This record gives sequence, structure tokens and C-alpha cells, in this order.
Amino acid sequence: MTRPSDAELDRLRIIAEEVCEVMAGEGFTVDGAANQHKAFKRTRATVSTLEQNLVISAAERGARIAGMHPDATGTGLDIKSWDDGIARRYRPKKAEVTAAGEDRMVCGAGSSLLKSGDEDMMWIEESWVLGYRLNDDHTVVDFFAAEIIGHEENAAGPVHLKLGTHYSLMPTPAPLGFVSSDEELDLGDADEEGQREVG
Amino acid sequence: MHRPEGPSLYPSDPIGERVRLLRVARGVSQVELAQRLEMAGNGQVSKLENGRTSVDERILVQLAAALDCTPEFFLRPRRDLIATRPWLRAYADAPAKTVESIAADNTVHREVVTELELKRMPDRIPAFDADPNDDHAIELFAQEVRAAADLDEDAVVRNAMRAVERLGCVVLPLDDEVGRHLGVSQYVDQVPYIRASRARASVPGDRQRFTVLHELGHLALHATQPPPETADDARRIEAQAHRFAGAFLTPRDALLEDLHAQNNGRVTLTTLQRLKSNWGVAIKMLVVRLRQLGEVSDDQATSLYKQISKRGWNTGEPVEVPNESAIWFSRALESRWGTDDVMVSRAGLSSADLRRWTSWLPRLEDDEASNVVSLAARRASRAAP
Repeated sequence: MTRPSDAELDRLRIIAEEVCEVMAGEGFTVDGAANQHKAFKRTRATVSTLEQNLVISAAERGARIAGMHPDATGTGLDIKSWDDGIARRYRPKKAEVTAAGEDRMVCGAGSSLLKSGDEDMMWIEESWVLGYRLNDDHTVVDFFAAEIIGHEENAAGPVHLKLGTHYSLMPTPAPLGFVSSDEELDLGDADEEGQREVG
Repeated sequence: MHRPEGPSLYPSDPIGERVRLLRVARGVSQVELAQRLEMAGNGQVSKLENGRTSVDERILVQLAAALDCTPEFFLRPRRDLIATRPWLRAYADAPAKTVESIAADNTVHREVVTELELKRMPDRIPAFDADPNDDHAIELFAQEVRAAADLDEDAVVRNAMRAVERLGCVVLPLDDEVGRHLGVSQYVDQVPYIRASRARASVPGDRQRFTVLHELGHLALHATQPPPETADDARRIEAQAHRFAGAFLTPRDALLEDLHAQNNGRVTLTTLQRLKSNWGVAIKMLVVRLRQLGEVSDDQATSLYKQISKRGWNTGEPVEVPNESAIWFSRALESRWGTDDVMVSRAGLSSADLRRWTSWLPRLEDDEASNVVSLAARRASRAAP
């Protein structure tokens, strides 16, 4: 288990910021699309897919801005990096919180996330997730990076991923404030009507 | 003007009008004034105000003590100042008594300006001769008014109160009795008056600035217009004043240039916070403005409002915008009278009045001012048998 360098975390924060901003500014289009037909709202699947597409699109753009290497994988996206001699592959993936307050992340039994690195390679490629959680209004409430350190087989359903340390990537807004000016008034411009009015 | 001597009787007709003016300005009812004068009921006050009874010096002194002024205040010749009906933000449900009190206080202030020989800033508000229902005309007019206020075309309004003062408006603090109405405006004797809330938690600087410009919008756009007769009329007129304030504080081209320089032109709460920091206007106002300018769709605006609500920003937005204060009245007093206390007696009122009109601190300042023993009260106590 390794820790991304500070420079790598800064690059990942650029991706996180792009995803957060896209979901804040364009997430409303998910509702617009889902409202096109009542069948789209029978389950939450349509909305989830639309959200996922927006996130992936934003993450791909963010990765390019950060100088990383996005690589489309079917319906998903892998972002590859080389950080201080360590190869990593980050995959944006939706996280859920269990009733116990723990993060829950699942994948299909055939997911490439479950495959270990190619043993013929000269280096080991670590598998990481860029986990995100969304609000009902499609804005991002949490975005983190975590290494996949294992998984729990589940014959009856999806595979639960075991994640290592979470590195929060949520943007922290810079302190902002309007600067007003303490301007004076030039009373030289003032008229003297008042003085003439006095009897 | 002279101080009354001996038990002279004065006809109460002009005196009655002045008693009524100051009583209303102070927000005192006839019943309350009668109690202060230890009269049995308000009948006598009513008679006095309506010129149906004479006034002797003793009553004059008692009245002065009760209303915190000098007896001379009531003996000033009638001036017949013409005042327009006050405009308020969303004034349809404003309490009439409060509006009347503010208007009377403006009239008293206007008289004091003359009595104290204060230099006024000339009225430089350009005349609006287009259709106020034409948004484009309002946008253009706002640019004209900005130029008259010595603001460059794309400049940020760093001090909204000073801008309207440069245009010749008298800006005075508004106490919070008027409830959610944060601003009032009217012409008094051809002088544009704006009342705006003092600094307090519920009135951050961005709201105060917008209110001042909204009121300027009423003065500039609606000065010659009769008051609205229906709720729809009132809403339309309010929207016009809003449009003016938005165009004044955030000129179209400059705002859009700034937007597109931020965040790839994407309108998010992050972008809006940055714009707020640059322009000193509320985030919700920016959503409205960007919608007016076609940069935000209805659906996007709804999404932004939901995000704003979810973050609790309806009750307190991030990004601080400092409150402002007007300075013309203080500076004019200083320039004419320095620290000479004679200005208080010449004004015919109390030092608390001058402080009330010059202090932009929260109401605590008013509480302190009310503890000041007034000149009139001292005189009354001396005159008492």
C-alpha cells in the first residue's frame, strides 16, 4: 500500500474540482433528461447512468487539465499515472454509505478492478478508485481517492471492494470577500441653496 | 425667530401642524403624546393639532419636552415643503403609520438642512424619458446614471452609498420598525431622499447596497409616476427598480466578461461566490441577473436556488460584503459648524436626532443616544414650577 505524492494529490484535486463544478453547474440537466419520459423514472437506473456519464466526462476533462492520462474503458474511465516510480490506475466510481455509516463500493464479478497487475510487466500497477457520492440534486458531497486492497466475494450479488486509506479531494473554497472603498465626498461641488434659503 | 416670553397665547393653527409633523416623525401617537403631557385623553392633542385651541408658553415648553425639541421648533414659519409619496421595496404591505413617520422625519430633516445652512450636493440624477417597461431602456439608463455618478463604464461600484450621494441623494439610516422593508425613497422639496437599513446581522452589505440602488431606481424611473394602484402594478414597478439596481451594480458587458473569465463560464455556486466577491452583490441576485441576461436557463436557475437553499444560504450567504454608511450629512455639519454645539439648538431638535441621522451603527447606538439628556428636557425641567 502506497501513498500518492503531494503532487499526485494536487493533480487528483484538479479532477475532483472539475467533477464538483460540472455536477454543480450541469447536474440539473439530469432531471431535464429524466423528465423526458415517465418510463425513465420507473427506477433510479436512468438517473444513475446520466450522473455517471457526467462524472466520467468531467473526470476525463479534469485529468487532461491535470496532465494525466485518461483511458476510456467501455462505459467507464481509467486515469493512469506514474508517480515517483509507482504506476496507478484510478477509476471514478460511485460510493454509497451503509446504514452503519461505512463506505460501500461494489463492482461486477468480471470487473477489471478485480484483476491484479500483469505479472509480465516490469512494475506493478496499483488499482485505485476515485470515489464520489452525490446529493439528490446531483451535486458532489464527497470525492476521495482510495486504493483497492481487496474484495469480498459474493456469489449472490455484486462484489464488495475493500478500500485502503481515503484521501479526501473535496475542494476547499478560498476565503473571499468584497473590498469596498471608503470614498470621500467633494463638498466643493455642493450648492449653497440652503444658505440663500435662510431668512 | 425668538424665544417666547411671558404667558403669550399663540394661535395653534401653524403650531398644531408642526406638533403633528414632529409627533408623526417621532412615531408617537396622539394618545401617547397626551400621556406625556399628562392630559386626560387625546382630544386636546387632536384639537391642538387641528388649530382648534390656543397654545400658551407653558404648553409650548411641555410639548417641546414631550417631543424632545426646542419650543422655537413649533414657531417656525410654515414652509409647505412638497414631498412625493414614499417608495418602498415591496411596499404594498408596509404599515401606513411607519411610512408616514419616515416621510415626516424626512421633512423634518429637510428643514434642518435649511436651518443649519448646509451645503447640498446638487441633484445629478438624469431624467428618464423612455418606457420603464422596456428592460433594454433601463439597462441603458443605468449606464447613464453610473456616468453621472462618476463611475467608469465597467467599474465595480466599490461604495454604493457614496455613488448615490454624489448624485445628490440624501441617504439616512432607516430603523428596523419598517419590518422587512429595507429601503424607502421620496423627493422632499425637490431633494431626493433614500432611507436604508443600518448595519445588522440580517442586512449584510450586499443587501444594503442593492436596496440603495433599488431606491435610486425608484427616484430615477418613477419620480413623476403615480403610486401603483394594484398589486400587479406594484410588482411591475418593483421589478423595474430591481432591473435598474442590477444594471447599475453589475453592468452587462463587464459582468459577462468576468463570468467567462471564471470557471470556463460555467455558472456554479463557486463561480457565483467569486462574482459576489468581485461585484459586492448577493449570490441570489446574481442568479436573477444572469437569468435576465440569458446566461442561465430557468431549469438551471431552479437548480441553483435548490443548491443555495440546501446550503442554508437563504438565511446567510458566504462571502462577506461590508456594510456601508452615508457621510454627506456628517461632512456638511462638520464643514458648516465644526464641533459647535449651537447647531443642535439651531436645528431646534436634540443631539440624539443629529446622531440618529448620522449614525450607521446598529441600534445599540440609538439606545445610547436615548440616554442623552436633551436640551429641551433640561429646559422643561427648569420651566417646571
